Amino acid sequence: MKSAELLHRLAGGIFVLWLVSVLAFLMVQLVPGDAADMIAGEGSTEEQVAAIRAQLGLDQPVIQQYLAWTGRVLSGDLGSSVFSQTPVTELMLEAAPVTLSLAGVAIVIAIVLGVTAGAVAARKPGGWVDGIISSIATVSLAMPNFWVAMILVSLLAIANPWLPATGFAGLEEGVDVWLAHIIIPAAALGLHSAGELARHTRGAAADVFARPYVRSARARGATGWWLVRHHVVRNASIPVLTILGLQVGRLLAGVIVVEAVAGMNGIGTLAVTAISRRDFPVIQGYVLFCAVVIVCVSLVVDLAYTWINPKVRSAGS
Amino acid sequence: MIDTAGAASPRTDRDAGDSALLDVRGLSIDLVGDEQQRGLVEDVSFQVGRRRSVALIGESGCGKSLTAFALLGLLSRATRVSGGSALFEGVDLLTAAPQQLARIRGGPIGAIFQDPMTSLDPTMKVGDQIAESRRLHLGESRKTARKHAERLLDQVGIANAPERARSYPHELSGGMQQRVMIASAIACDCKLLIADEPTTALDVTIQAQILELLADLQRGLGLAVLLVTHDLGVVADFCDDIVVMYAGHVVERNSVDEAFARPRHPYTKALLGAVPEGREARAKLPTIPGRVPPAGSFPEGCRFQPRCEFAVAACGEPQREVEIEPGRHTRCGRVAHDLLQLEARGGTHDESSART
Amino acid sequence: MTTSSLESAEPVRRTARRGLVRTALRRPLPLIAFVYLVLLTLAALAAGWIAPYDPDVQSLAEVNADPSWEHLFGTDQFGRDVLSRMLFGARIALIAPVIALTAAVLIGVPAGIWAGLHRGWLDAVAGRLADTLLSLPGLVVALAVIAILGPGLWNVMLAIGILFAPYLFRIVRGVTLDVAAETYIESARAVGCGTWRIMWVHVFPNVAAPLLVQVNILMGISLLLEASLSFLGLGIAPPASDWGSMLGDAYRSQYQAPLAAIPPGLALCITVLAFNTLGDGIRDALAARRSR
Repeated sequence: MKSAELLHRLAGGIFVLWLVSVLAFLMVQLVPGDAADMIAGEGSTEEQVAAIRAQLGLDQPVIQQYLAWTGRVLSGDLGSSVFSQTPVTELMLEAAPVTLSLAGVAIVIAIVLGVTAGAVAARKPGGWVDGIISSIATVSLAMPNFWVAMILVSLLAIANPWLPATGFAGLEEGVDVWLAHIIIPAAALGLHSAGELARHTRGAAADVFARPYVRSARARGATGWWLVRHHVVRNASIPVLTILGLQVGRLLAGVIVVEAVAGMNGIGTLAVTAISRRDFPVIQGYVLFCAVVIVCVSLVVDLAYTWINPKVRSAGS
Repeated sequence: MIDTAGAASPRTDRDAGDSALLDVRGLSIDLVGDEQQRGLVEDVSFQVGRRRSVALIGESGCGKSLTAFALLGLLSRATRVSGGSALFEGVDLLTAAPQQLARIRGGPIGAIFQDPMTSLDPTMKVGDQIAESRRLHLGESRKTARKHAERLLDQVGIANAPERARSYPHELSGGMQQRVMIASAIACDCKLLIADEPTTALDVTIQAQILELLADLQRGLGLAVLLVTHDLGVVADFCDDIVVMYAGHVVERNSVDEAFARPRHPYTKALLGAVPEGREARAKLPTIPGRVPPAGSFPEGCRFQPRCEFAVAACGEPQREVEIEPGRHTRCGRVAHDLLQLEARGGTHDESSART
Repeated sequence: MTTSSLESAEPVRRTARRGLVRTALRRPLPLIAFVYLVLLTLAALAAGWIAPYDPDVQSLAEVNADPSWEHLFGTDQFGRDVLSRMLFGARIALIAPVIALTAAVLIGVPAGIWAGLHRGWLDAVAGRLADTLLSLPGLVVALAVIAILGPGLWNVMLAIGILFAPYLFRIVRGVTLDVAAETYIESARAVGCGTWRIMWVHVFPNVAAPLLVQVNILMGISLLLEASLSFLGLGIAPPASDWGSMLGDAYRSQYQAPLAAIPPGLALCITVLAFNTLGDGIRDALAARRSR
């Protein structure tokens, strides 16, 4: 891919980030009635409300608020929590390892389970193996992930005390301890994405298997595993990659609920607490964090595309 | 492997029967799950002699590509071979184990297909696709196979082979893509090349170049070629023998020269009538009225009879393939019994109409 | 285009749409899903009569009781009858997606038709906004809306409606662009039909089929989202019966009653599955119709 193309994609990503930042800024403005009053809650004194108003800059004209806010955000200052007065960046950095561990393990589970199942199902579309795998995938798409987490906790942590039911342990306490804490919520989180990936992998692989170039590879004597490794994987991964990119966004949302079930203080829990308390700086930080992750992931997906698909690669040149 | 090295020289060996490289007998193909077993292809027999080129011709929907795919063991899941045999160097291609077939495909039997663009893997360098055959069959390393791929590209007339080997299919023209397909098919010294409509998707000028290349390779490497086509012009330029298929049946087998001079089946004659004299007049093809009936609604008796200008009541009876002279077979009962004498163009002597 | 085909084109499309659900119901799975949803609706409507207990009445004598003949699904940590709560919860499970999708349709469809007919800079801006909203995970957008409006069932449903509007906007806009390129819209304009009349008479019938498919698929997703938000305590206020908040209650008592999560979770799962299956069935029917 030519650098012009890359710059174009980058500009698109920055535009989305800008739009999200405007929406995040407008959140406070859109609150019906007086935002400071609402944040302070009932029974608060006049001084408390005024302090919040001053902290959020609500006493200034909107344009000025926006410019000041953008300037701060660009310099990496997301403000401080209205309640604890801790800087938002500090709160997020503290919570990030939990969320990243969860999402990371979940995506690995989703890829391993989903892609394998989809590929196996695609070998004989319409066969009984395909039927079973497709049914499981369909059912997994209908299951709420927090429910799956609860069931797994009851089975593996409460009924049988094999794994810890709640809490998080950092990697510094050992990989096994870390994994033991993370595996249940990550599996619950990854299951939905695995179902989605299995469906699309099956579709993509079945499509590739029916292509003329697979027939000519067979005509060259390629069979079985060779065929899959040299022709199917690369071609089928092009559509699957798009879905994988979307799943990262899904996981980011799913993590909110699953963290609550697993009693982990990740970014999701941070967001839920902030929302129930109307802690706008934290909420804005969370929304921006999600947007940044998603824009980065879609850029990586775009790059991976051009690496896998030579047509896209030379289209830019 | 059976080696019949002592075969007579190809030009005089008209009946390739015993020494044939490929001997297809009674091949039938069914739709899977069709209880009535209405064959898509029924009782197809023909031979391909060593170093000979045989045309498998007919309009689209006649079962010629199905026949070719069946020989390669590449039928889609919806269809299956329901009978017959196809001996290639002592191995029955129709009943061989999948691993054995895989060793033959890309080895002694190479194949090229209709649309080279979609027949090449878009994500793989063309050199690697050619090298794939050598790695699979000769166990060559990636590096050695690549060297051979460059040599093969050179052999099929692609200039600047080392650089071209690193191209992706979409960076090449249609003609070059088909040359790449040919190079990958002959990469392991194949003896039989099955070419399914190899020039149909190409421009007229490129068609001629590809045919010329095939002819050169055939002579140079001593290849036998089974050419599936619907274009009699291609057959006239390139082939020794002709196998005419209509609605799943072989209706005539003959040498090309003989069939063009004196067709032994009304369908062959009709096809010849549909070919313009000068090849440049291709745009205005006179066509045979009507169309090939879909499988399952074939008429009783001779399947061509509804479209045949010579049809009589007796054509409603089942017709068998008859060898009228050595190497010449017809499925037309009236031709077989000398009731009908066909000529490529113009006057045709119809005994029965003369008598009535 | 002749006058006769100008007149005949529209009615054909309309009858085609009417038969879509019927075509989908000829296959067994969509039919089962449809029958289940009808039964669930009846049960929800009749919850006041058929529920054995008042869903909100607590009984500290029977806390976390196992299933028995008195309480078929047992009781929760406040001694409330689980079956009764689930029957009343079905009301929310059905109403919530309907509210959300109504909001989404009311926002997305007129905007999409308008953008498709008029194009221009407003269309470009709306398209960008829709793309941006779609690129964010649904729950995040819903949470942001709740942060503005505050928790509660109606706000949650409105949030989901806003979240889904861009999906419908994009579909409707695309179909409208296609339809607008056809001659009869031109002639309708020439005759002097106003924009809204063109939308209603000519565009809407064409949009209806793809919209129906998308709405059915979004029903399941909106139910899952509603349950997630209620589970987090951001949705419907206690003590009202809702499957999501029942799961929240079950979570808080999971050491005392590990099985409490099963009934509401299964109900949720099956209902979402039914919405999805029906949506897939209608989509397949539409695809089959198009290929014909």
